Order: sequence, then structure tokens, then C-alpha cells
Amino acid sequence: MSKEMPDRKGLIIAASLMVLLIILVVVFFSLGTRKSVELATSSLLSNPDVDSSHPHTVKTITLFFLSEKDGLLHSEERDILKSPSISLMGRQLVEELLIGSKNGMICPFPSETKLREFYLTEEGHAYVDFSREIREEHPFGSEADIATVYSCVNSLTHNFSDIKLVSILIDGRESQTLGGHVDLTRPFVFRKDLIAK
Amino acid sequence: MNIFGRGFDSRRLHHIILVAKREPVKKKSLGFSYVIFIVLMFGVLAGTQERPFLRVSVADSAYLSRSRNSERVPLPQRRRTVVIDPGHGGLETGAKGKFGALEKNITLSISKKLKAIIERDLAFNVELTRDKDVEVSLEQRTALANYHDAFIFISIHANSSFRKKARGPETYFLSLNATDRDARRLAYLENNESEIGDKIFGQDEDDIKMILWDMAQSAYLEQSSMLADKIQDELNSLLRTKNRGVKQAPFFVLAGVACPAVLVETAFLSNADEEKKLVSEAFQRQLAQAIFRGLVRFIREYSNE
Ligand SMILES: [Zn+2]
Repeated sequence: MSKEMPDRKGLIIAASLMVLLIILVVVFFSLGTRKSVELATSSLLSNPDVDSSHPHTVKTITLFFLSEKDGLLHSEERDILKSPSISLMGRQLVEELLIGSKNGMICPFPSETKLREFYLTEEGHAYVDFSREIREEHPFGSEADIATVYSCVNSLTHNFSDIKLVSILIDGRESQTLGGHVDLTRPFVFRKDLIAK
Repeated sequence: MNIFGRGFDSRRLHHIILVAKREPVKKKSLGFSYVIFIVLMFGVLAGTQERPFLRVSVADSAYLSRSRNSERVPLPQRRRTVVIDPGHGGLETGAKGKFGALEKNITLSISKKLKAIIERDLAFNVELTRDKDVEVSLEQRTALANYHDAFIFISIHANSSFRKKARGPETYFLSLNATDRDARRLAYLENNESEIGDKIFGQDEDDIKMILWDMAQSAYLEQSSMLADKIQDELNSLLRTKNRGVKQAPFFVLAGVACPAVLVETAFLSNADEEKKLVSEAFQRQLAQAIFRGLVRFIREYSNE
């Protein structure tokens, strides 16, 4: 009897260790990988100086800003971090757009506007979700409506052939219009005629 | 299943009713949105079945009878209606000028003047989508035009831009966000116009009704472009603005209108000089007269076609 006891005890300890190990493995793979991906992407985004000198990690994009002179959209180049995820690059593009022009052109977004979310469906339909400031400080005119919408839509569709349609959301919700004119309930496509030749 | 096959997002086509349901601020009851829907459908039926305004014959020049000449041509049995839409209203003020002028007041004032001129000089009924300072939804404005089986729809606005120097009048007609799928859908509708009526009656499916509603303006783009052209031309000669062409934009208020429809941006409230002009009665009257002349030229040319 006494001889068998430690054996059984050992068996129980071994079994519980096994269970613990399995739990640890499961926890590691379910949480650990996600965390490591997040870490990778956030380090990619927050430490651009690490790799940006390397040409393979940078993508040059064309942003469209409003020109005081002719009221048309004019291009301006900008570098963003290359990523296999179009969604990540689309988000960077919109954030660059909101920073504004470096060549003195007009950024057709109210200055406090922020990008809340950016989604891209498999069919190439991008949803750009702006903070409510896009509407609060907007000039509310047709020309302003058009400039805001197509600065974003043309920039996204021009740079990424995978983005075919763009919908604009405000504060996480679908809105009827921006300033009472342009229809936001239907997705937008690229408009060449609004770009200066 | 819908007739346009897989991948067609019918959800979008419900926006006219859905928006009413989604916007809690307006506190619209479900019943109310159904009333709107029925009014909309009434308009579509009236529009797609007969389309009387598509065939403007020589007899229509009778509409151009001038009351002042006292040789009035006998009135036809039914007067046609021009719907004028003063942009914005109520809490929705629209653009605001540096000196405090509000777009909603200017649009109403110009619209009333335009209504008076049309009623004086042409044998048309004129309906305003609002005649006082109240908030009217964009769906209601569109629905009113279709309910009256409008001959022409003119939405009046005052512009505003991020550009300090932006100035001058602009006339818009609807642009379609034509994706390949939309283009195919449109081609289908254009080639099967006769079927449309059957479809409205023959199927219960809301999708189809809403597609037709959604597409209403697409059947009138050519006429709308012509109307915009005439109005812009008159505004250009009034204000001596050169190189100002007609523009296209996906404006919500135009999309569902089942007749030639334009949106006139009279001048820029964001431009201090133009703001001063826009608040003056004299300038507003000049604008109304110019729009009227454009309208008359459109009807004349249309009648001769
Ligand atoms: Zn307006």
C-alpha cells in the first residue's frame, strides 16, 4: 500500500502537469499570436524610422488636395509604409490626407477631423469612418461637400486598384449627406473630371 | 433573389426609408416613413407610366403664354407644375456667411421671387417644397416633386467653399456613381422601360420598387443637363462670369426626382463680396430672373425638338 501511494501521487502530479501544459499551450497560441501580430503592426506604424530608409518598405502615394486657384484637386506625393495589407495602407493614406498639404494646397477637411476606422471588404469596398468634426466645422456648401468627398475617394481609388468603391461614415454611422448636398448613402467611385490636368 | 443577381446590395436601395428610421434626431415614426414611401411610389408610378413631360409637343408652347400681352392662349385641361426647392431650412441652416447671412433665408427669398415670376409670366403651377423657415427632409422634397408630377424641379442654394476666393454661380445636375454594375442595371432599365410598370405592379418585392425609385433621375439626365446649361448660361451673362460650365454631382435631393432637375448654387456665401450681394433684394431678383430666362429657353428648345 505505502509503496503504491507515491506512484499514484506521481501519476496525479504528472497528469495535472500535463493539463496545465495543455492549457498553457492553448492560451499561448490563442492569445500570444494575436498579440505578436499587434505588436508587429504597431511597431511598423510607430517606428517608421527603423526601416523607412529601405526602399522596399516605402510606398509613394499620390494625395489629392484642393487648389485655391481653380477649385480642382491637385496631386501631391507622399511616402507611406508598405504593407501587404491594403487596409493598413489605406488607413495611412487617409491619415496623411488629414495632416494636410505640404505644398500650400487646401486640405478640404475641418482641422479637427480624425479618422476613426477604416475597413476594406473583400470586394474592394472601403468604408472610411471620420469623427464628427468633419461635419461640425464644415462650410456646408456644395463645393465644400464635393471637395471633401472626392479628395478622399480619388486619393484612395487612384492609389489602390483593389479599392473600387468608397463609402464615407461619420462617427461610426451612415449619414444621408455631409452638408446637405452630396449623397453619402451610396458608395463613390473615382472621378477624373475633378482632378486638374 | 433580386433581378440583378448575386452581389447586388439591395440594402443601399432602401436608403430612402432607412434613413428616416435611422436618424433619431428627427423622431420620425415608422408610420410616417411609410406615408413618405407611399407618396414616393405614387410619384414613381405617375412618372414611369405616362411620362407626359417627356413628350413636350408643339402644343406645349401654349404654356409660354404671356399674361402681360393679354392674348392668353386658352389653358390646357391641366396645368403643369414647376417645383422650386429652397435649400435647407429650420435648424438646418446650410452655409453661413462671415457677416451672418444664412443660406436657408437666401434660398427661400430667391425661390419666392422665382415662383412669382413664373406664375406671372407662364401658365404653370408653382409649388415650393417649403414656404417658410422649417426643416424639410430631402426625401420629402423629392417626394413632393413626384407627387405633383413635376415638369421641372429646381433646387436653389448658396454655395460655400474652403477656398477664400471661390465665387460665381454654378448649376448642377445629377452624376451617377456609375460602377460597372450600376451601368448594367441602368442599361437594363433603359432597354426595358415597358417592363418597369409591370414590375412595379407584378412583384411585391420592395427591392425592385426601390431600384426604380432610386434610378428615377437617371432617365432624365439629358434633359437635366440641357436645363442646367440654359440656366448657367443666363447666370453667366447676368454676372459676367466666364468659363463657368455646368457641373455634375451626386446630390441626394436630385437622385429620385422623375423629371428634369437641377440644383443652382447662386453665389458663394463664403465669399464676403458675394455674401453682401446675396442678402440684397435686388440681387436676389436678378438671380430669379436669370433662372427664369434659362427655364423659358429650355422649354422653348424642348418644345421645338
Ligand atoms: Zn446648400
